[in-house]
Amino acid sequence: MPIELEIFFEHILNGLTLGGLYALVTLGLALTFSVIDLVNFAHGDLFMMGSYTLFVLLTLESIVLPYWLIIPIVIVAVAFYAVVLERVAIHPIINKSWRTHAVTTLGLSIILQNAALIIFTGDPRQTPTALTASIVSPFGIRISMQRIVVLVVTIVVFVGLQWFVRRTKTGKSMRAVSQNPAMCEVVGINVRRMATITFAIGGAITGLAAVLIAPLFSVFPNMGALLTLKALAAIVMGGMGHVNGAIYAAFLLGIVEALFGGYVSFAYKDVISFGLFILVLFVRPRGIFGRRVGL
Amino acid sequence: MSQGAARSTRLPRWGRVALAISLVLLALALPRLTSSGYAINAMITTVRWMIFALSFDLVAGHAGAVSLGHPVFFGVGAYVAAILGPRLGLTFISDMLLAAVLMALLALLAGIAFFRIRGVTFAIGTLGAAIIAQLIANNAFTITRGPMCIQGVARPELTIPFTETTLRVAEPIQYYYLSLPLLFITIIIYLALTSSRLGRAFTAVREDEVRAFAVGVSPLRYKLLALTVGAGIVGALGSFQAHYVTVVCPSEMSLALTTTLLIIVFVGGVGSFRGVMIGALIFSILPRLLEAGGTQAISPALQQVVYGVILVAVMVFMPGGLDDLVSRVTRRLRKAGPREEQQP
Repeated sequence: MPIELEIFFEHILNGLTLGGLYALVTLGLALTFSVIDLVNFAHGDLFMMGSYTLFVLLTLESIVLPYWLIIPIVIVAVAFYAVVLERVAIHPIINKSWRTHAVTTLGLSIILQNAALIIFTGDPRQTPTALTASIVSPFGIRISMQRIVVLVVTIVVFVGLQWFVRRTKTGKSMRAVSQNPAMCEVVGINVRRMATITFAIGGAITGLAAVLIAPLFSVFPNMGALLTLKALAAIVMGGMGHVNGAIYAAFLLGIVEALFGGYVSFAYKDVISFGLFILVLFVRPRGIFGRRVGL
Repeated sequence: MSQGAARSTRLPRWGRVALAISLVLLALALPRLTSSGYAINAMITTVRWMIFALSFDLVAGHAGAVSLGHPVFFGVGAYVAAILGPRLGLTFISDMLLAAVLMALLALLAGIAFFRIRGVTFAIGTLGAAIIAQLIANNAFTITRGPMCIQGVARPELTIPFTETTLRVAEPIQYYYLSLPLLFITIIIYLALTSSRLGRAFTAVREDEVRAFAVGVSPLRYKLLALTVGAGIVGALGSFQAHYVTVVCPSEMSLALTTTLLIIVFVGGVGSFRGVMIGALIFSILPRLLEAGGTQAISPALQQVVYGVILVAVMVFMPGGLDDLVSRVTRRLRKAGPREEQQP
């Protein structure tokens, strides 16, 4: 069976954008996981909330907002949602076991998904922007501008976050908290505030992901559930607490899914990505990318 | 210290025996009090959730392995009854046994693989496996008929021993009495595994695997025991469910079942027999009470929001669950009791 090169590259590009989506969602989740040692099963639902915020802003009747203005609004909104979740439900249980963390955040996820179902119904919503419609075709490969923006932004955010955690005082404090929270209290780092800041940054990244990526797919109440699990899979595959590894794993998942969905079976593409994840768990329980711990 | 506190709220031995006997009698007599099929179906649902939650609590509460894939054993058990049962010409009871044995074996294999990973990674991995199982059930059309469901699973026919008569089970009340033995067996297994030396070994494994290992308690062995037994029970329950509703769908292993299990077990009181039973009772009855109280049925989404809020509130404010609340109330009452007697 001859493989047409243009179609192959289209699949690869789709895989890269999907990988970009997974990477951005993973980044927010990995951040909270490595700094305050909490796995947030409601993380994907923040993405869902950001997507619906975008939908509401795009369908406002009284005022037409330009997309470049909507982007910062959604980012701030999702950062705000994340901080509210942290203050209300996560902070009180932060010193409990991982079981309490998992069950509480799963409970949050149930609340958010069903609240969205009540408010917006289960109908899939579209959030088209001017960029989704503009298709460019270099070398005969058709790709929408929106996908190019997603890829560029993913890389910029990733590099920016690296700079932030290594060079700024807040970033250094976050790394310190991830290594030894008790000692941070001793040297005067406000661990409580660091947790909130971490959630705000994770939320902002997730909001950015939502506002850029929701236009490529449809928006529905439980869209976050599968995303949470993909991001968790990427984190585990990358080696828990190893953010770079998680990002590589997110891109790997995106490309594998796009190729498998394109050439073999669309219905089973998630089976393949989760199958790959479980295979990695069995073969290398500490992840593909070694066991170095830290941001 | 918690051990002592728990003991102080316990009834004396004769009290517990009397309570157990009266609860069994109540369970037997309950459907005689009503003739409404609706009420009896509610009782079957309650029994089903009790079995489901007890088997889940063996794994999550006692072995400490929060498996988010528990309903897979239920769903596959139901598919065994719907697909394998008729081909092998099995009857109701042998169907349930087959499902139990197969699910126990599956759990043994899954456990050997998944118990290499620990803690939250285990929860994530089992959730991934559950999603794979559900996607396959939805898409393997030739085997499971996907979302079209397998319809027309045979209703049970029981041969009554020493007679030639066969009993065709069709009425809800007959299903209720068929489900009770499974509940009693589950309770006996649960109590046997969680009391005395075995129970203390489970506690050791749950609290600190490394230390448990150091004092000669193999964490892997106990976790495998809990997972295998729990999966066997829930596989048999899945087979029962298939013969009861006569339809098997991919939703029999959906994540909604996992979240309901988490809610029942963690709101009731994780690792506590009394708590899990109370949780199963409340969350089987509550939706029907809400329906009966309102003029119209409340939407499933609103019900899920309420459940979620209850779950988060319990985790934040009352981590011991309802079981802990009951203990505290009875302790308060007992302390108050003698003092009143002293006052003339």
